[in-house]
Amino acid sequence: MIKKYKKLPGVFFGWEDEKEEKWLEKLSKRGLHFVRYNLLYYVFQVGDPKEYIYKIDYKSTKNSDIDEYLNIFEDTGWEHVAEFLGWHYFRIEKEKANIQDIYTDNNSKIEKYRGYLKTLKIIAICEIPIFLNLVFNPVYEKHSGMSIVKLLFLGLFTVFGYTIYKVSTKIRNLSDEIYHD
Amino acid sequence: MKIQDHARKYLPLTESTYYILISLIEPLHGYGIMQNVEEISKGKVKIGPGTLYGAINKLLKEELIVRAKSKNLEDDRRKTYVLTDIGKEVVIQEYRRLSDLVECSKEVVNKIGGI
Repeated sequence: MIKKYKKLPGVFFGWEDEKEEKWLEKLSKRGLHFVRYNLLYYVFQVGDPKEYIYKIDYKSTKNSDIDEYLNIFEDTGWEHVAEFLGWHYFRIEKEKANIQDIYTDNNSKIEKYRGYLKTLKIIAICEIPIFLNLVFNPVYEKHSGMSIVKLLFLGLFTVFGYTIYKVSTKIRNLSDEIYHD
Repeated sequence: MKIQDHARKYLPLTESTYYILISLIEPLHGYGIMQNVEEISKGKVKIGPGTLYGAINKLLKEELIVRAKSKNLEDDRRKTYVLTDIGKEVVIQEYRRLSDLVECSKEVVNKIGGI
Protein backbone atom coordinates (compact mmCIF):
# COMPACT_ATOMS: atom_id res chain seq x y z
CA MET A 1 0.00 0.00 0.00
CA ILE A 2 1.33 3.41 -0.89
CA LYS A 3 1.57 5.73 2.07
CA LYS A 4 -0.08 9.07 1.56
CA TYR A 5 1.26 12.20 3.16
CA LYS A 6 -0.16 15.63 3.70
CA LYS A 7 1.55 18.87 4.63
CA LEU A 8 -0.05 21.52 6.76
CA PRO A 9 1.43 24.90 7.62
CA GLY A 10 1.72 25.76 11.28
CA VAL A 11 3.73 27.53 13.93
CA PHE A 12 3.43 27.09 17.66
CA PHE A 13 5.57 29.13 20.00
CA GLY A 14 7.59 27.68 22.86
CA TRP A 15 4.92 28.30 25.47
CA GLU A 16 2.18 26.72 23.35
CA ASP A 17 3.27 23.09 23.73
CA GLU A 18 -0.04 22.03 25.29
CA LYS A 19 -2.00 23.75 22.55
CA GLU A 20 0.14 21.98 19.94
CA GLU A 21 -0.47 18.60 21.63
CA LYS A 22 -4.24 19.13 21.48
CA TRP A 23 -4.00 20.16 17.84
CA LEU A 24 -2.11 16.99 16.90
CA GLU A 25 -4.66 14.89 18.81
CA LYS A 26 -7.51 16.54 16.94
CA LEU A 27 -5.85 15.82 13.58
CA SER A 28 -5.21 12.16 14.46
CA LYS A 29 -8.92 11.80 15.17
CA ARG A 30 -9.43 12.93 11.58
CA GLY A 31 -6.89 10.40 10.29
CA LEU A 32 -3.93 12.71 9.95
CA HIS A 33 -1.05 11.25 11.96
CA PHE A 34 1.89 13.47 12.70
CA VAL A 35 5.20 12.39 11.13
CA ARG A 36 7.58 15.33 11.46
CA TYR A 37 7.92 19.06 11.70
CA ASN A 38 10.03 21.24 9.47
CA LEU A 39 10.21 24.94 10.10
CA LEU A 40 6.75 26.37 9.31
CA TYR A 41 5.03 23.14 8.24
CA TYR A 42 3.92 19.75 9.59
CA VAL A 43 3.95 16.45 7.71
CA PHE A 44 1.15 13.98 8.39
CA GLN A 45 0.50 10.45 7.23
CA VAL A 46 -3.03 9.87 5.99
CA GLY A 47 -4.68 6.85 7.63
CA ASP A 48 -7.59 5.66 9.74
CA PRO A 49 -8.77 7.97 12.52
CA LYS A 50 -7.17 7.12 15.88
CA GLU A 51 -7.34 8.44 19.41
CA TYR A 52 -3.81 9.29 20.40
CA ILE A 53 -2.40 11.21 23.31
CA TYR A 54 0.42 13.45 22.12
CA LYS A 55 3.02 14.83 24.52
CA ILE A 56 5.90 17.11 23.67
CA ASP A 57 8.94 17.01 25.91
CA TYR A 58 11.87 19.39 25.94
CA LYS A 59 15.24 17.69 26.44
CA SER A 60 17.70 20.25 27.75
CA THR A 61 20.42 17.76 28.68
CA LYS A 62 23.26 16.69 26.39
CA ASN A 63 22.34 14.04 23.85
CA SER A 64 25.03 11.54 24.94
CA ASP A 65 22.25 9.69 26.80
CA ILE A 66 19.66 9.88 24.02
CA ASP A 67 19.27 6.06 23.89
CA GLU A 68 18.58 5.91 27.61
CA TYR A 69 16.10 8.75 27.25
CA LEU A 70 14.21 7.12 24.38
CA ASN A 71 14.25 3.67 26.05
CA ILE A 72 12.50 5.01 29.12
CA PHE A 73 9.69 6.39 26.97
CA GLU A 74 9.42 3.50 24.57
CA ASP A 75 9.45 0.88 27.36
CA THR A 76 6.23 2.39 28.67
CA GLY A 77 4.61 2.38 25.27
CA TRP A 78 5.25 5.98 24.23
CA GLU A 79 6.22 6.11 20.57
CA HIS A 80 8.87 8.67 19.68
CA VAL A 81 7.50 10.37 16.58
CA ALA A 82 9.79 13.30 15.85
CA GLU A 83 12.27 15.79 17.17
CA PHE A 84 12.65 19.47 16.43
CA LEU A 85 15.30 21.68 18.09
CA GLY A 86 15.28 19.74 21.35
CA TRP A 87 11.50 19.22 21.40
CA HIS A 88 10.62 15.53 21.34
CA TYR A 89 7.19 14.44 20.17
CA PHE A 90 5.72 11.31 21.77
CA ARG A 91 2.37 9.63 21.35
CA ILE A 92 0.43 6.68 22.71
CA GLU A 93 -2.92 5.20 21.78
CA LYS A 94 -5.41 6.48 24.33
CA GLU A 95 -6.84 3.09 25.26
CA LYS A 96 -3.37 1.56 25.70
CA ALA A 97 -2.11 4.32 27.99
CA ASN A 98 -1.50 3.19 31.55
CA ILE A 99 -0.42 6.74 32.38
CA GLN A 100 -2.05 9.64 30.57
CA ASP A 101 0.94 11.97 30.77
CA ILE A 102 4.71 11.76 30.54
CA TYR A 103 4.96 14.02 33.61
CA THR A 104 3.25 12.80 36.74
CA ASP A 105 4.15 15.62 39.10
CA ASN A 106 4.47 19.37 38.87
CA ASN A 107 8.06 19.43 40.10
CA SER A 108 9.33 17.54 37.08
CA LYS A 109 7.14 19.57 34.73
CA ILE A 110 8.73 22.70 36.17
CA GLU A 111 12.17 21.22 35.48
CA LYS A 112 11.20 20.72 31.83
CA TYR A 113 10.32 24.40 31.43
CA ARG A 114 13.36 25.50 33.44
CA GLY A 115 15.59 23.60 31.02
CA TYR A 116 13.90 25.31 28.09
CA LEU A 117 14.17 28.71 29.77
CA LYS A 118 17.89 28.19 30.25
CA THR A 119 18.37 27.52 26.52
CA LEU A 120 16.27 30.58 25.63
CA LYS A 121 18.30 32.81 27.90
CA ILE A 122 21.61 31.63 26.47
CA ILE A 123 20.40 32.32 22.92
CA ALA A 124 19.03 35.72 23.95
CA ILE A 125 22.33 36.74 25.53
CA CYS A 126 24.20 35.72 22.36
CA GLU A 127 21.84 37.82 20.29
CA ILE A 128 22.27 41.05 22.25
CA PRO A 129 25.70 42.02 20.85
CA ILE A 130 24.59 41.24 17.28
CA PHE A 131 21.53 43.37 17.75
CA LEU A 132 23.38 46.29 19.37
CA ASN A 133 25.96 46.19 16.61
CA LEU A 134 23.25 46.34 13.97
CA VAL A 135 21.54 49.29 15.59
CA PHE A 136 24.49 51.41 16.63
CA ASN A 137 27.33 50.58 14.25
CA PRO A 138 27.45 53.51 11.76
CA VAL A 139 28.90 51.21 9.08
CA TYR A 140 25.44 49.78 8.49
CA GLU A 141 23.82 53.20 8.02
CA LYS A 142 24.91 53.39 4.42
CA HIS A 143 23.40 50.08 3.40
CA SER A 144 19.90 50.28 2.11
CA GLY A 145 17.86 47.27 3.18
CA MET A 146 19.51 47.39 6.59
CA SER A 147 16.35 48.74 8.13
CA ILE A 148 14.58 45.54 7.11
CA VAL A 149 17.27 43.42 8.76
CA LYS A 150 17.02 45.59 11.86
CA LEU A 151 13.28 45.17 11.88
CA LEU A 152 13.60 41.40 11.52
CA PHE A 153 16.02 41.28 14.40
CA LEU A 154 13.79 43.47 16.49
CA GLY A 155 10.92 41.08 15.75
CA LEU A 156 13.02 38.05 16.65
CA PHE A 157 14.12 39.72 19.85
CA THR A 158 10.55 40.54 20.81
CA VAL A 159 9.50 36.94 20.23
CA PHE A 160 12.38 35.73 22.41
CA GLY A 161 11.56 38.18 25.17
CA TYR A 162 7.89 37.29 25.07
CA THR A 163 8.64 33.55 25.10
CA ILE A 164 10.88 33.98 28.14
CA TYR A 165 8.08 35.91 29.85
CA LYS A 166 5.42 33.31 28.98
CA VAL A 167 7.54 30.32 30.00
CA SER A 168 8.46 32.03 33.29
CA THR A 169 4.76 32.61 33.95
CA LYS A 170 4.10 28.94 33.29
CA ILE A 171 6.76 27.93 35.81
CA ARG A 172 5.32 30.35 38.38
CA ASN A 173 1.79 28.99 37.92
CA LEU A 174 3.00 25.40 38.30
CA SER A 175 4.88 26.34 41.48
CA ASP A 176 1.75 28.03 42.87
CA GLU A 177 -0.20 24.82 42.26
CA ILE A 178 2.31 22.87 44.34
CA TYR A 179 2.00 25.37 47.14
CA HIS A 180 -1.79 25.07 47.14
CA ASP A 181 -1.84 21.28 46.94
CA MET B 1 31.63 17.35 55.17
CA LYS B 2 30.14 14.44 57.04
CA ILE B 3 27.87 12.19 55.01
CA GLN B 4 24.95 12.96 57.34
CA ASP B 5 25.28 16.69 56.78
CA HIS B 6 25.68 16.23 53.06
CA ALA B 7 22.55 14.07 52.88
CA ARG B 8 20.47 16.62 54.81
CA LYS B 9 20.76 19.08 51.91
CA TYR B 10 18.49 16.94 49.75
CA LEU B 11 15.55 16.85 52.15
CA PRO B 12 12.60 16.90 51.86
CA LEU B 13 12.20 14.67 48.80
CA THR B 14 9.24 14.68 46.43
CA GLU B 15 7.04 11.62 46.55
CA SER B 16 8.35 10.40 43.17
CA THR B 17 11.98 10.85 44.18
CA TYR B 18 11.47 8.94 47.42
CA TYR B 19 9.84 6.04 45.58
CA ILE B 20 12.59 6.00 42.96
CA LEU B 21 15.33 5.93 45.61
CA ILE B 22 13.78 3.11 47.63
CA SER B 23 13.39 1.12 44.40
CA LEU B 24 17.12 1.33 43.78
CA ILE B 25 18.33 -0.76 46.69
CA GLU B 26 18.89 -3.27 43.86
CA PRO B 27 20.07 -2.27 40.37
CA LEU B 28 17.10 -1.58 38.10
CA HIS B 29 16.62 0.01 34.70
CA GLY B 30 14.13 2.78 34.05
CA TYR B 31 11.17 0.60 33.24
CA GLY B 32 11.97 -1.62 36.24
CA ILE B 33 11.78 1.43 38.49
CA MET B 34 8.37 2.38 37.14
CA GLN B 35 7.02 -1.14 37.63
CA ASN B 36 8.46 -1.39 41.12
CA VAL B 37 7.00 1.95 42.23
CA GLU B 38 3.57 0.96 40.98
CA GLU B 39 3.85 -2.37 42.76
CA ILE B 40 5.10 -1.19 46.17
CA SER B 41 2.64 1.70 46.25
CA LYS B 42 -0.16 -0.75 45.35
CA GLY B 43 -0.94 1.19 42.20
CA LYS B 44 -1.33 4.50 44.01
CA VAL B 45 1.79 6.08 42.55
CA LYS B 46 2.64 5.95 38.88
CA ILE B 47 5.68 7.66 37.46
CA GLY B 48 5.61 8.92 33.89
CA PRO B 49 8.69 8.58 31.67
CA GLY B 50 9.37 12.34 31.57
CA THR B 51 9.28 12.57 35.34
CA LEU B 52 11.46 9.48 35.66
CA TYR B 53 14.07 10.64 33.16
CA GLY B 54 14.29 14.04 34.87
CA ALA B 55 14.63 12.45 38.29
CA ILE B 56 17.31 9.95 37.18
CA ASN B 57 19.31 12.74 35.61
CA LYS B 58 19.12 14.88 38.71
CA LEU B 59 19.95 11.99 41.05
CA LEU B 60 22.95 10.99 38.93
CA LYS B 61 24.23 14.57 39.04
CA GLU B 62 23.76 14.72 42.82
CA GLU B 63 25.44 11.30 43.08
CA LEU B 64 22.59 9.78 45.07
CA ILE B 65 22.52 7.03 42.43
CA VAL B 66 25.09 5.70 39.92
CA ARG B 67 24.92 3.69 36.73
CA ALA B 68 25.40 0.02 37.62
CA LYS B 69 26.75 -2.87 35.59
CA SER B 70 23.87 -4.98 34.37
CA LYS B 71 24.02 -8.62 35.47
CA ASN B 72 21.76 -9.68 32.68
CA LEU B 73 23.81 -9.49 29.49
CA GLU B 74 20.81 -9.72 27.20
CA ASP B 75 19.50 -6.60 28.80
CA ASP B 76 22.72 -4.67 28.43
CA ARG B 77 21.14 -2.14 26.14
CA ARG B 78 19.23 -0.83 29.14
CA LYS B 79 21.23 1.14 31.68
CA THR B 80 20.64 0.18 35.29
CA TYR B 81 20.98 2.39 38.34
CA VAL B 82 21.66 1.76 42.00
CA LEU B 83 21.81 3.75 45.26
CA THR B 84 25.13 5.17 46.45
CA ASP B 85 26.11 5.53 50.12
CA ILE B 86 24.87 9.11 50.13
CA GLY B 87 21.68 7.94 48.46
CA LYS B 88 21.15 5.39 51.22
CA GLU B 89 21.79 8.04 53.87
CA VAL B 90 19.23 10.34 52.20
CA VAL B 91 16.63 7.55 52.30
CA ILE B 92 17.36 6.90 56.00
CA GLN B 93 17.09 10.57 56.93
CA GLU B 94 13.92 11.09 54.91
CA TYR B 95 12.41 8.00 56.51
CA ARG B 96 13.20 9.36 59.99
CA ARG B 97 11.83 12.77 59.10
CA LEU B 98 8.55 11.25 57.86
CA SER B 99 8.28 8.89 60.85
CA ASP B 100 8.80 11.81 63.21
CA LEU B 101 6.05 13.75 61.47
CA VAL B 102 3.65 10.81 61.73
CA GLU B 103 4.61 10.14 65.35
CA CYS B 104 4.17 13.68 66.63
CA SER B 105 0.89 14.27 64.83
CA LYS B 106 -0.72 10.96 65.71
CA GLU B 107 -2.56 12.27 68.76
CA VAL B 108 -3.97 15.27 66.95
CA VAL B 109 -5.09 13.25 63.95
CA ASN B 110 -6.69 10.77 66.31
CA LYS B 111 -8.58 13.57 68.08
CA ILE B 112 -10.03 14.92 64.87
CA GLY B 113 -11.15 11.45 63.86
CA GLY B 114 -8.57 10.63 61.23
CA ILE B 115 -7.49 7.25 62.50
